[in-house]
Amino acid sequence: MTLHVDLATELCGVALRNPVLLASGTCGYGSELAPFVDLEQLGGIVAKSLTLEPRAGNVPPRITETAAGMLNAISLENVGVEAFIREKLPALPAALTVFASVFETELDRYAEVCKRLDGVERVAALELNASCPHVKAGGIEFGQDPRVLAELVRACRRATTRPLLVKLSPNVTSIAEMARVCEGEGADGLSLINAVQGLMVDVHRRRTALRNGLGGLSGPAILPIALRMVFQAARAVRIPICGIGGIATGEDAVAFLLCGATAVQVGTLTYTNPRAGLEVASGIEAYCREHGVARVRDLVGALEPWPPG
Amino acid sequence: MLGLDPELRRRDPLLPRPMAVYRGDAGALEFRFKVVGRGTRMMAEFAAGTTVAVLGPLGNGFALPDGPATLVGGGSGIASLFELARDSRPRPRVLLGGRTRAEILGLEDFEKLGVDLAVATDDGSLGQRGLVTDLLAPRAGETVYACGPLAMMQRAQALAAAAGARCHVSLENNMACGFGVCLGCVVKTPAGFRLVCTHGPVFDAATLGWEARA
Repeated sequence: MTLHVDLATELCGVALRNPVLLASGTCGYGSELAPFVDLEQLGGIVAKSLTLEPRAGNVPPRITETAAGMLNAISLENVGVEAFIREKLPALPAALTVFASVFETELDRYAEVCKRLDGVERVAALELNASCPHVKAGGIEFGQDPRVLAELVRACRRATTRPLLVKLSPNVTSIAEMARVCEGEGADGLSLINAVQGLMVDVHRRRTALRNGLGGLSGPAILPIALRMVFQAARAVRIPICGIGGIATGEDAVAFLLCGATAVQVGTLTYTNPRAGLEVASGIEAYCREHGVARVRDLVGALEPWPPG
Repeated sequence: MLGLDPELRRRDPLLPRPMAVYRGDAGALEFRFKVVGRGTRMMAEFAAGTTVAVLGPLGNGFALPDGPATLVGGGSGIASLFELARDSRPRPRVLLGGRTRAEILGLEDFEKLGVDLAVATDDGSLGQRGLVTDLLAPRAGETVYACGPLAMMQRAQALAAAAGARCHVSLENNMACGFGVCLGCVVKTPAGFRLVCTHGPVFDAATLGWEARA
């Protein structure tokens, strides 16, 4: 007899069919994937980050492949929050859980995007992208300064009654401190990690590979960094965590759950295979069956200690 | 997009590579590509029987001409033109170029099509010495199809525009996904960024804002 595995879970009060969402910036607005994927079989999607106005992004080249990963500096090209609500959301299947990702360059603009999304029934939760350079703070990412991060979460918390997750930047000294700041300001959950700051050089042309110079590193190359940060954040706060970083298989996802993540997001691997998220979900189910785990929720934080050596 | 077996490719190299289908018929897809780095080298060394991952067809393709046409291919760009050369009626003029004879891929296949074929190589090892666009003399009202180095396609567009011909080009770019979500493959045009993967790869060259540079 095969074990029935209950993959259902809950993240910040949002019921999920399974713990696998697609990460913001890697699944467009969802409809781009519809030709390849039955979207409703996913735990959900986090749509591409939205700004108040449409945004064109950086001049190319803005992606380059790296060892087991890639570096990007797209700079959050998007259609703007109004076009998302008017055109993109209605195109999605009714049973798909949709999180909206919010991104801006100033505090009041972040809060305004949250406010616009607050009354939109189709949006199950908001995810604050805290990796944006803060114009008024001299270009440092919002998520790199605990004081600025606190102001951001406070302003957005006031602007929405929806479940609010904060997507943390990994480009910090203490991820635990940033996690505690968000919890203290009323965030309902954390998503981590965003891309790791990196640089690649084309030595033949003696130029940076990306026109922007710096970029965000993603893919399997960053998985151990992400696991470490989820592990540390989970020990610092009580709010739920959505684990992100190079997940390619069900076993990768299980590692995040064991480190304390309630759910996970598949990102860069969707580029290599639009069905990656579904395959990760099946992989989690296979793992549970193999190890006699009846409910996926039982894996959360269930890392065993090493016996004394 | 052609990649390694999913189990291998999830680590390194990570991304599949955008490829034109050289020739597709019952049960088989044929790809011809140039080895430009580690990923394409690994693909070129696949043993017979290797499992690969293919996602496609993605994006648009060349629309068959409704009249006379000239096809201009340079280097690995020639691979994008074979089926168009095979299926176009009336039979098109086909101009192929490369640095040397070895770069004129699929020459025997093109010769068998019975098209009006001419070749140029930089070193004169095959056909006329010089650029493939030296062979191009567009006729008013015809369609020029070009795939190859950017400078070649821009020259083809300039010659076509001057002669009152249309010019369609197939662009290539680095891309991670091929289906419109990574946004890595944009080209800057007067109408804003366009995605090579889903808006293209074939574009009417007149929309790309090349006139100023040609």
